[in-house]
Amino acid sequence: MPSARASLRHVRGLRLMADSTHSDGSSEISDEPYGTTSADLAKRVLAGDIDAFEPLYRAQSSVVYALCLRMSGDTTRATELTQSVFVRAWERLGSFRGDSSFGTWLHRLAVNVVLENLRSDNRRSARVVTDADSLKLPDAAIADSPDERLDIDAAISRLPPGARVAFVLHEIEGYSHQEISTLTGLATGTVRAQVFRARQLLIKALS
Amino acid sequence: MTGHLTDDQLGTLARSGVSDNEGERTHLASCASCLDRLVELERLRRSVQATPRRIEAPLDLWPAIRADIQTKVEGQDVDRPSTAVNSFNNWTQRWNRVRLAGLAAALLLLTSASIASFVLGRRSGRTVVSAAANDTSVVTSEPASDAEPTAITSPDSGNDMARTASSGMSEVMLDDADIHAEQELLADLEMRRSSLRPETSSEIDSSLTVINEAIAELRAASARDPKNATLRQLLAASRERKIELLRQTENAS
Repeated sequence: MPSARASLRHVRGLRLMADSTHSDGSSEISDEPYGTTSADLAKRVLAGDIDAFEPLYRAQSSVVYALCLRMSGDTTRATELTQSVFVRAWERLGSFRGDSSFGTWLHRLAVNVVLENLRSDNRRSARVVTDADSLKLPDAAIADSPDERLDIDAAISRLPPGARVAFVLHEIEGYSHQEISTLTGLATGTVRAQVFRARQLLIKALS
Repeated sequence: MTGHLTDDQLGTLARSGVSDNEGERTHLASCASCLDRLVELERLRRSVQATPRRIEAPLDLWPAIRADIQTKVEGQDVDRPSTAVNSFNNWTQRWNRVRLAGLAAALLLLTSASIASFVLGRRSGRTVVSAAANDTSVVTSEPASDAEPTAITSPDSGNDMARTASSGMSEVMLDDADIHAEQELLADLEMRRSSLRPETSSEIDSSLTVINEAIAELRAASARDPKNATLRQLLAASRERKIELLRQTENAS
């Protein structure tokens, strides 16, 4: 009965998702209730049970998609990136020891996958986003539509790529300038300048 | 405090809401400009904090992810499931593979043809058109030397002797930026290797082998005739083609 099996999987995923939503909005899979922990699921996946990966996907997909969407600024790209993140997570699951939560481990991996892809995009278009480059970008990078002025996510999506990545990692994901510098390979001063530029553009968009 | 507060200071203040620094507090009390900036930043921060941590993807990606994983498990050469995104990706992946093979073949042909033309040209002392160096440029070969040039009959990519012998004039043609770009692209390729399909990875390796063999041929020829500017130019062009190929592989999956 495929439909019943799918329903059971769905319910299991929803349970894990419910467990994972904390009051502060952070996203973790609880290791306590219901007896199925992310570490247990990871072991089953590593033993060859692909379907054991589905609850992990269901619990984290919306968090990963939100990250991919904000960092890429594009829904199609975010969909591709989300898919890449989970396939990469499956490939690297052996490195998940359970020391940190699966959500934390996956988040770090997702950031790396997105940055890796964005770097490839930049090289492909032969465009290097430097500090000076981002500062030169026109104010028209922010739409003048009144509706979009009110939508912070739309405004973020219209930021220049370098400024967008730095802003999302710093202001939304909580990474320090130094951590972003390590992740992106940019100088700390450049990261600061990107965040500054992003703030300027967003303040203008929201004013 | 005489100067305005920096963006970092204001950003930290907007986050924490209070300042332990007496100088900052005094400045804010008397500087409307900094206070306005702080209010703006606090407003921005509130907007950012209100953004949802979770956004549902427009479609359920699990079937596509599961199929990808299944493919990797089985090591089969099958296409991804046909979501709208993947259909487009499949087309571009096939096209990229064709382009990869075509580029490598073209390079080999151009390089071989150029070497042959060069050798023949030297024998007759005529002008040689170098396609590999530049599609439109005409270069003149060095005057024929007394010694008979050695015909190059087979590629030998692992020829350490040739590499050693050529490590003089030929390598001078490579500037640091090119070497760095090549190393970076090769490292990037290795990083992505696990995510490539086996047949794509194999095709990339084959293409790189062809180009490396062509480069080795040119190095060997250049080692035999180190003063020959045409050979050096061909070698440099081949290295450029290799970098171009590596850049093309970024589209592969």
